[in-house]
Amino acid sequence: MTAADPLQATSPETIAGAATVPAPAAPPGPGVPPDVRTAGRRRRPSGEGPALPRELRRSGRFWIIGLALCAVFLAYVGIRGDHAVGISDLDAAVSRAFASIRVAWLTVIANALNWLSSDWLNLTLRWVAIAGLIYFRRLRHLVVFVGAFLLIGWMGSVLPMLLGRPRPFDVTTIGDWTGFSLPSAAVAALAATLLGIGFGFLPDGRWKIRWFYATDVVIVLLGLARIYLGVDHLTDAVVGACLGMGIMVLAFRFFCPESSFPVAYGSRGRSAHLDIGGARGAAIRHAIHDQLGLVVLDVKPFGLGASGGSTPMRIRVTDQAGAEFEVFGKLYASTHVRADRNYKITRAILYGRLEDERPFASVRHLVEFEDYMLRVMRDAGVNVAATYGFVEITPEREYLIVTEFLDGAKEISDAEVDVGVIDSGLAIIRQLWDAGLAHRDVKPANILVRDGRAHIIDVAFGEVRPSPWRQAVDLANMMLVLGVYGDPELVFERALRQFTPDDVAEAFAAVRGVAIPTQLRSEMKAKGGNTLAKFRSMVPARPPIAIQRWSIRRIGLTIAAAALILLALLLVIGNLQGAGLV
Amino acid sequence: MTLLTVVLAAALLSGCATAAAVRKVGVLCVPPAGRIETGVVLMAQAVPSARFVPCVDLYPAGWTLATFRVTRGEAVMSFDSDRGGAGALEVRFVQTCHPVGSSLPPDVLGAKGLHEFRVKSERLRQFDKEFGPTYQATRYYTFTGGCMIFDLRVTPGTESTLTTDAAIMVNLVPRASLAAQVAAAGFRL
Repeated sequence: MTAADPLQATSPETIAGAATVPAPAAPPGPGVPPDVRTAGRRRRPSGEGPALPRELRRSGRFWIIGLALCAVFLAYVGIRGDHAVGISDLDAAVSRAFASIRVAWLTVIANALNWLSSDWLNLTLRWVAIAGLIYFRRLRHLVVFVGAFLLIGWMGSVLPMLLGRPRPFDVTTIGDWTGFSLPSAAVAALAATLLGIGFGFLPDGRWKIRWFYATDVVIVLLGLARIYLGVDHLTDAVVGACLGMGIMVLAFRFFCPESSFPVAYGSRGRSAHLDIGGARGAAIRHAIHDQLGLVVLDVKPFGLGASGGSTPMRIRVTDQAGAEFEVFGKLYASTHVRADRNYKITRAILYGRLEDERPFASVRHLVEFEDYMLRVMRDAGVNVAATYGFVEITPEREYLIVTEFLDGAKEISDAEVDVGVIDSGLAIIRQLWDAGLAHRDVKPANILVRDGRAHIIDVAFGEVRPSPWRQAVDLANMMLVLGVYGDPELVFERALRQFTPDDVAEAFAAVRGVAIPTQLRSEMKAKGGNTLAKFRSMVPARPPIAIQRWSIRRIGLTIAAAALILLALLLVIGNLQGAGLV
Repeated sequence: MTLLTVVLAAALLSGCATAAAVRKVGVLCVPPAGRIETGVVLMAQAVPSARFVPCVDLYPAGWTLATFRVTRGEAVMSFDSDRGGAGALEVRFVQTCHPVGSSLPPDVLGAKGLHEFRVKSERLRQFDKEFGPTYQATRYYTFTGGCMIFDLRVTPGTESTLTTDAAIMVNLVPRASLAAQVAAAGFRL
């Protein structure tokens, strides 16, 4: 933080954009520790941008204007109808001027440059790029890359036919060409390919900027070469470059902005975690101040290794009274929701649906639900972190939920599992049952121990009024977690103080296979001793409860997935055939 | 709607729009007053040596232009027929070709339209064969600096009518005529 940063101020009243008079003290929100004063909240007035607006950047705005001008030009050409001759005076003059300087060596160079726009080279570059994006698991980049190409390819084939502009008159064409000339599909394709590679593979920074400048140079040279060879008019090349570059830039700016989907290599490259420095870091500070009334002093990543579905962080703040303390923040982005949805769909296809397991429709719903579940569970007396609410970073794209920081808490795998921990862990399940709730993701990473008591975190996948099966699975998983790190016999004995033998028998009749979280299965395997079998030998015998394996939904999903794969294959084959590669 | 859905929907819909765009390509032998049939001009630019250029006299009932692909040195038009099927007729226009098969007698049904140009009719050839469930016939029309190849693939039993249709539909326009149209606009073809 710089000295000029208004958020360095410890008093909310001195923060830029905040009221210049002291804001009235507001009562703490529900769940917030009563001694925390969170006045100074500020409503974002209509017309003011969010903390982290969708970024178009200068180049995005430039290309919006560029594409609009192209659209006007193409509409003008289309409406006039006599475009073959009417607007071509300037183009013809330029073409004649270029043709007048033709010499053998320049023709060789121009033809070599024109080769850059060949289908063969373009498709090779695209397939290599697609393979690279798959290798680096940049699915979002891949979809945007392919989608932009489909659009540009479609425009490159449809627009020329609609406009029907022949190749330049008055000159002899001495280079290769395909189809009508306006817009230049060849220039558009190469421009898009090179820019797409830049967006897909180069991290923000100097090399990316250099790549884009180099692309500009290549495209200008290609355009000049094609005018020289008499295959494109000046306006064909300009409009082609504008379409290819503009569509690719805007596609990435809108659907795959660098701040949300950064290109990174090494360990960061495959992580779902977002960068919380730079513009996003500043946005987090502003959002917490304006929406929660807390002044952020410091933000640090926290527990990244244990979190794949969000970006967790430790945030040092002061409240209005100047009290300094830490809170825990989890940044959710739309990518996390999509990853969760894809995971659940894949799991439903492979194993069958676990009842009532539905993906969230949006990141807003996810974060709203987690905040709600924290409040409901806390009201029910469950040991969960108190929530301060959540803040909007970018509407419908990024939200940050802020909770009490469980200072000094350890993951249960690092803590001593004594009777106190066992009782408090089982009490969590008892309280959930009594309140008609289920956590649905009871695993070692989600159980923290502080002051000899278990706390449960990550409640986003919780459920109100769950099925009996789901509640039974929660109990079994909690007992398995406690049994893996403690003594299974002691866990069983203590469980019978809070649950009936039938409850425990039902739990172990229900838990099997995919109902046990992956991390818990791995821990059981690593620790050996077959904790599950030990529990089953202790509980009263009961027939296993079947997991629903096949349903209409699973069959539909399987068929839909097969159809999508088939469609993708057809697109691939069609693309290859179109280029004569197969 | 997710980005993926948008992309897939766009990919599927784009095929319809492309088909509609092809039908807008101007390939008529006689252009509307004051206009240039740019599709024919583009084909003339593809094979600058040819003294004649393919064009469409009129579309018999049930025929539509399906694809139009022109590159330097070659132009290909394909036509759909409601009776003959998709791509029933493909017309390829190149500088040179190597006709095979027997010569087509001048009085053969379907050759009449092209005879009017008297384009070296002695080299008009036909190569017919039965190929599976499809009737296939290839005809070569050669003339100075160019060659037009008809490839008819239709449902057996319809070949007689559709061959006549094809010959009525596709004709040749002299390059000089196109050059005059372009010159009237102040340019040189």
